[in-house]
Amino acid sequence: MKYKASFVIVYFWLAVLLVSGLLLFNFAEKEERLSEQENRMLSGFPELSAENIFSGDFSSDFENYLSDGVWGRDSIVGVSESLLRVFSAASSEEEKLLEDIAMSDELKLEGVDEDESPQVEEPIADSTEEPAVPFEDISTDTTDLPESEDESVDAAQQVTSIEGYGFWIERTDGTYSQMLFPKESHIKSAARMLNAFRSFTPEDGNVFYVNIPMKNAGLLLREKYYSRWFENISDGITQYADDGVHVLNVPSFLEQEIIDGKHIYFESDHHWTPLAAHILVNECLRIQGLPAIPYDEYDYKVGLFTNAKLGAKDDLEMLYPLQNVNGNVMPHGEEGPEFALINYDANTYMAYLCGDSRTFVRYTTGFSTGRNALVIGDSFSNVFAPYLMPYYDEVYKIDARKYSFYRNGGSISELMKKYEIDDVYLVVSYATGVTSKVTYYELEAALYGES
Amino acid sequence: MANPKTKTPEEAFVLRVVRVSVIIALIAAVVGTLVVLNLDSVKKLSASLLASQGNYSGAVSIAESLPDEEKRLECEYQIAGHMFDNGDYSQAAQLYSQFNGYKESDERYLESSYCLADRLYLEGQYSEALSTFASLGDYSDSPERQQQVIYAMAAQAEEHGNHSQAINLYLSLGDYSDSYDKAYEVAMLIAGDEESAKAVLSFGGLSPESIDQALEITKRRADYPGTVIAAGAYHTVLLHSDGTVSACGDNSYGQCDVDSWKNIVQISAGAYHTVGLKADGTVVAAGDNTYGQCEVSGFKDIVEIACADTDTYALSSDGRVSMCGYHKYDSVTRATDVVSIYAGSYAVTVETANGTFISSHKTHQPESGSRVLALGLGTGYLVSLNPDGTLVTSFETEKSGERIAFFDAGPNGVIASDVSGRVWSHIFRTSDRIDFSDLEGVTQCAAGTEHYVFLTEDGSVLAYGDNSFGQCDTDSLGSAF
Repeated sequence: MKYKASFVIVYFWLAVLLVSGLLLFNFAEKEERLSEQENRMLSGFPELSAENIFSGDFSSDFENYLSDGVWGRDSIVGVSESLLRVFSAASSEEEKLLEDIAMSDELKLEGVDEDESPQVEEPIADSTEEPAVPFEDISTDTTDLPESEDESVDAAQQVTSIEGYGFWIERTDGTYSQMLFPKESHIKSAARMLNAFRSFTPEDGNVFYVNIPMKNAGLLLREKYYSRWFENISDGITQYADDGVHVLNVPSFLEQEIIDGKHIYFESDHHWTPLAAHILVNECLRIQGLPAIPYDEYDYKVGLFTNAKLGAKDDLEMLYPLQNVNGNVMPHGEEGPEFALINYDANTYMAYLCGDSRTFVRYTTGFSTGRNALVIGDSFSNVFAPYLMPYYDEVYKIDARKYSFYRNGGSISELMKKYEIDDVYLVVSYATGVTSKVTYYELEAALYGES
Repeated sequence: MANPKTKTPEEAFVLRVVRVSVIIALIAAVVGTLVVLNLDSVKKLSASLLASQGNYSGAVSIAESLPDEEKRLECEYQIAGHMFDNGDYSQAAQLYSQFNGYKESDERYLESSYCLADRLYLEGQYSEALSTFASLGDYSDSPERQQQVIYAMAAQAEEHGNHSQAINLYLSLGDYSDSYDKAYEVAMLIAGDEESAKAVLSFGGLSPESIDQALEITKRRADYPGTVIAAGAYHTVLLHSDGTVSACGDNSYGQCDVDSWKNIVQISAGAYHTVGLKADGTVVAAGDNTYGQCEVSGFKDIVEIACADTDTYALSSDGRVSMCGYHKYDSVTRATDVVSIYAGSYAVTVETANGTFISSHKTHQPESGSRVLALGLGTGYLVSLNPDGTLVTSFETEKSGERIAFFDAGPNGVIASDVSGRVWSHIFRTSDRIDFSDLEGVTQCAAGTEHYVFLTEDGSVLAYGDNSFGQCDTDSLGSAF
């Protein structure tokens, strides 16, 4: 008996040691690293500082760190996607749409702790300071609250008629796959947000809203069961938009290009390509009456972009800017370390602004035009921003998903005023678009000062 | 008793008549039979007879009635021959052209057309003669005959006082006879001096109206040669007639520190640097040198300079281009026999002695074979000044402006002045547009980032637009003359 008890105790403590070791191994401090499967940087151990703790950023970043640090994460994500396909009744076409939805959710997650600046000794700006413009607490305004707290992209539905606002892909049998289901409240909220940004640009300024469908929706156009895609969301927003606000109907510009086999979306990634972004940049320029620089005016380095899991590979065109571009991270709104526009050593989407961009960066373009631009977006804005360089003295870029009042040195409106922003480009995928909380209220809140 | 074998006179007469009638009938029958059996031949003969007498319509009608295809063709072929023999070459050629290679119809067609063209030429119907000779391709000496006709047309135009047309026609003949000398003679008549006459001749191929305008523009540009004013991003530079230079505006990089410059014959401005070409062929520079764009001390025997935003280009007397600054364009620095340099923003284009253009970027290269007086390179766009005074821009499908003599392309738009001194502009953003309609007597123009500078006929400098750095305070610059 005694010996048995000893064995039990020994085994118990061995098990405890084993589990402790596993936990220690799994959750030991890690740096941020790349996940090829999800094509984003996984969170590293967040910075431990009084500022981060009291702001609440440490706890939210630590949560992301634990989530991203689970051992075998890649396998778990892969299995869950496989199960979804196996048990789903969706056709192979709808599978692609569901992949887009899964990608959408991933895109909205909090990203990397990007702060690379030296430790700030002085406290940041007094948070009790009144913002330049009184902030309307829209979070307490219940009239436009979304029905569900999590404004993720709704599951695609097969419908037989066009009703309300949405984004549809028409099938050859006359039915439609509808991917987005914005309500009137979404439309109005997006317009209100855009108008708010417009109010902080000068009289001759512009605000552009470029909302891009995800890759799989685009690739369906090349399949025999689908004939076209279209949306009426942009028209819906435009009816409420002020002068100087331009909402682009992105599908209408990309549809024929996709059907003609142009390289619009990557095969091995969910992003659109530099060529696709160039098309929309040119439309923004045309609206302003500016001459467009042809796509092949630039020299490109073509890198091979692979995704071993999908067995797909692409050419990733990394352009060489026409003038020398200097980039800087802008922690707390001040110039920080250098940050490259293009990483020519990368062979993935990381080439452009390191994939998941830093929250706030500035590019001094090398051109003298007398104007500055602000690009706000998710990772879809990464290939968009470089084509704006010749038209602005400085291009600032904010990651819409990771904006922080305290980290970025003020509200977006304050930053716009400080850096004399003339034109604003909101470039987001559907995941961060009209039906997402980012567009619905987070951006407007960030504009006025809340994060 | 009467003899029963004796016929009465009446009976003899009747018998005689009957015999004659029978004979006639037999003959008629034989002839008719022969005719019936050889009707086609008779028709052919008839048609030929008619054609020989010029009755072509009748002859053709008979020919068309022939049932046999081969015989019909043969008959018509004979008719065509008669047409040719009668000198009716036009009708002969038309008829021969319908035979689709029957016998020697192709050859006869060419022969007929040639004779027709020759007759038209002799009759002075030069346009018709030219088009007819042209339709013959390489038949006989048709190409030479065409030149002969054009020469005659040129002489006719000259005689009638259509000098521009005469010049165009003479010049179109190239080395034929003394056509170039004749063109020069006429050019002298309208230009008055040798230099202008040569300029007029360089516009060969333009319409008469365009030649007149081109001459006007050439004279205007000759009256105000070189580059007297220049605009950087936020500074303005003026070259005085005594070879000194003045500048105003942004001086953050020392780009306005040009007061000590002497014996300057040309100036140019990049975004934040200023460059001057000295009379001895050396180059001086002031301002931003971040990328070495002011490293000009090594430039020698320079005849022309040009600046992009962050680059400096220099054309030497041997037709080679040197450059310093941010960019490196081997296609341009390897070019030979360069006669002009155009630079702007990030691009550069050079023109060689044989009229070809070599550019760092496709967007900034004029179409092959195009004639331009000057180029302007903007951010992603090109502007060409045609000899007829119109501007061709890469951002518009139609030509712009009229009788333009000077222009400049900036990051935010294009400004120009015409031969009468009025200003034309195309500023891209509506909110940035300025009304220049009151300006008069303007010659050269220079476009900065957001300010626009004009040189007037009396040498004064006017500036409009953004003045945040004092770049429009041109009173301080003084007069150019």
